[in-house]
Amino acid sequence: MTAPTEMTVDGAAIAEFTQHAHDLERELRKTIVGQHEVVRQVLIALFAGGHVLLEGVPGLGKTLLVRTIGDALTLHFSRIQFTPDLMPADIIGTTIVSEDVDGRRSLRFQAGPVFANLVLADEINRATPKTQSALLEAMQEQTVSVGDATRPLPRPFFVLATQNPLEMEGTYPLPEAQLDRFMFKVLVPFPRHAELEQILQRTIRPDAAEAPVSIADADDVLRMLRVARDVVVAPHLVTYAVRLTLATHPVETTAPPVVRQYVRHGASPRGMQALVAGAQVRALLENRFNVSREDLQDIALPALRHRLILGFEAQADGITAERIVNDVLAAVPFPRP
Amino acid sequence: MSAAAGEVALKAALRPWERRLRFESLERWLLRGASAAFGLASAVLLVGWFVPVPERDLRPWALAAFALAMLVAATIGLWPGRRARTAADLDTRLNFGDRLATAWSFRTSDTPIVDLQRRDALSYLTRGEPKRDLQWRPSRVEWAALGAATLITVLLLTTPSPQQRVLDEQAAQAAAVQQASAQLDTLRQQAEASATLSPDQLRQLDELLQQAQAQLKEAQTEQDAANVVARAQDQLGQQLGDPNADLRDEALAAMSETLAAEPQTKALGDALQREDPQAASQSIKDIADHADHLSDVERQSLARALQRAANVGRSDAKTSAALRDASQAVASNSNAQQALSQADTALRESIQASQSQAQLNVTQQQLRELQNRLASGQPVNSSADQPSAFGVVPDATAQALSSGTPVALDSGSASQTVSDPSNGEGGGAGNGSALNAYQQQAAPGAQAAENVFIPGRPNDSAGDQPQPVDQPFTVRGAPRPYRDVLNQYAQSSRDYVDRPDISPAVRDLVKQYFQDLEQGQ
Repeated sequence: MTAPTEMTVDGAAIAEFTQHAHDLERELRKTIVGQHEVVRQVLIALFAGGHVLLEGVPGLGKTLLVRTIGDALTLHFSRIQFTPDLMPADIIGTTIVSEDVDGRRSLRFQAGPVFANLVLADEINRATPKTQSALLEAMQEQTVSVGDATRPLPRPFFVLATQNPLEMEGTYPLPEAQLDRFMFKVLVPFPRHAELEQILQRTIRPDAAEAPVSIADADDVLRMLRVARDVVVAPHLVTYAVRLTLATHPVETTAPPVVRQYVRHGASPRGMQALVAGAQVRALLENRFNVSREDLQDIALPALRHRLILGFEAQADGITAERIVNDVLAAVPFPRP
Repeated sequence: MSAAAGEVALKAALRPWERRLRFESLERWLLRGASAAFGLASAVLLVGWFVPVPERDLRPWALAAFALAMLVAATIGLWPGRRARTAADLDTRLNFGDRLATAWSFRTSDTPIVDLQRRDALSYLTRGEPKRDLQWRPSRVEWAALGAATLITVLLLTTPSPQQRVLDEQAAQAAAVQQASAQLDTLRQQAEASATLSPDQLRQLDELLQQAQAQLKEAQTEQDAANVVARAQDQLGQQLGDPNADLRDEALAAMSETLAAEPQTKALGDALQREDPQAASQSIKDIADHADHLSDVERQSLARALQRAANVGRSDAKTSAALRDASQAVASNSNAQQALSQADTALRESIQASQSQAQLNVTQQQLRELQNRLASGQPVNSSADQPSAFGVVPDATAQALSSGTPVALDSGSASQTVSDPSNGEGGGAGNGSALNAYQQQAAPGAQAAENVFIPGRPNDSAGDQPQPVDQPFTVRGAPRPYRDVLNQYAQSSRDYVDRPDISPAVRDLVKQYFQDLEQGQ
């Protein structure tokens, strides 16, 4: 059971949360054509304080989505284009020798682009593992250690990374430890016919697209994060989240056959935390003060799909993580209180 | 809203929904219970289709199973559920997004977010109407299950069980076994009432029949009962059968015939023919009383008659010796009284033994008939229809006989008329008391087996004596031509040798013998 925090969350705070969230969603939809599910999942991860890995082919508006969020929330936004020659110092910063007007030289830390509220790690899988791992501490601890100094990152701190699933040559797949630090992995689907027509219309008449207005600032976002954490989760729903997580492990007796056959390792406790945290935000977005089973089921796919380590048989048989998560959802019974 | 007030409000708001859910649960479980109850009742009734159990015995069990299932269903339906579960059920049924279950889980918390959540849940709950929002209708599967179970039960109640024939057969066999036991009981009673059996014979016979009755209680089928009766019959023959009975009977017959031919011993001969020990004793006493007054010629004649009787009755050594001694004593006129007294004793013992053996034979024959009826599946007559093996007659019959009124005696399938023997003129067979006549006619089978006289003189008084209509064999002292009884002998022998304890070789031999006789006839 998630006990409510000590912080007082009243009706006004919740109303503010829902107002800002719905406003932000509306602003994003002004810019982003279609992709409602992607927008909803990104916002949920955002207000749950998690990082998002967006996976999709180029040209689907991933970067635009992140940039629009930055604009609408008035957050310090930075973009890092990951390339094979990108060095860790290029991300987190480095200590340089500087000379003042008096000619005196001193060592000064030059912050990297990771020092922002909203970081877009574009094509993250193109960087070497060494560079990728430079983000590990920033994503988990929200601090950066250079030399013997540890510097906190600005709050709120979100990393929204993108990767292209097609061009695998010259890429470095993210290690499991890094993947686990992303709260959600969101798949960006190809737009449908109507959405493509709408995109084309905006291309032909760029003045028709409205620029996003600022909805909230960093402080507002921090308050929203605290409100989301207070959403009530009943004990039997906590049990359900635990059951779902355990069912992704092949050694568990409750695991469905597909898990036992194809999964090498199941979701981590961090994945379970992401599941519940995402469900809390979704509950607020659904104008509820408590998490429901539908929230958990809806969040399970983005929260768990990248945390399942599949075996070779899954690849050979064309079994995807999505299929396995759906089987887990179908197999795990909802506990009665 | 404080936590306590919130909890009270939550309980109050949940109450009408709980009542509705309980009513719905009762409906649902009664429907399921009815299906299960009919199914159980059908299962109980179906037992009677595979196991030979009477349906009337199964119906109370089926009714009990039905009632039990309904009771269990009603109990489950009315069993109060936990409120947390009720809240969760309402969340599911009303699509409340786990609002109620969560509110109930945090009913004791008074944090602002929980209070908000509780108010939210209450607002959802008060917006609804239990009767309108909770509507339950049985699914098609549930209706189909109830219909099928009901139909099967009705069919089982109205359709005769295929095991009914087996049950009828079992009942018939049980009745036959019971009747056989009653027959044995009747035989025992008749034996106790009999005056011809010695106490030792009576005891042995009673034990034997009691043992057979005890074994009959274990018998399940007519064949079992037939085997029990067959064993009893064999034991009777082994324990109480006299191997010299035939010789003794032949000797008695020959002696009676010889003595009856002499005027001085005619009364004795007649008494022997009637097997009347008192008359025989009285005749010897009369002879003894007159022995001292006889002339030499008469004494020698009497001695010769006795000697001839002793000679023809050699098969009965004791009686023959006694008669011989009496003959010598009469001839020499020394100790004639004592010798005649010893002859009287020997003759009475011989007659007594002959009568006892005859009655045992009758009993054995009745057992054989009972066994045959059981083995062949023929109905076993009740004891009231059976003639007495020991001369014991039902009161009404005895009264009619003693008053001289002709009565019809039902012996098996034949009906016989017996007249008062005092009205007849002839002696020999059939003369004597009505009871004796009845006794002799009542056991034709026994006479067929044992009391048969193949040789003998033609019965002069046969025309005067009412003869049994279908009497297969003659009674003692009334011989009939062999050709008249050959067919009945043959049939009797075939019936006898068809017993399972008779070896095929003996059976073939006997059958071939009578076949040759019939062909020769």
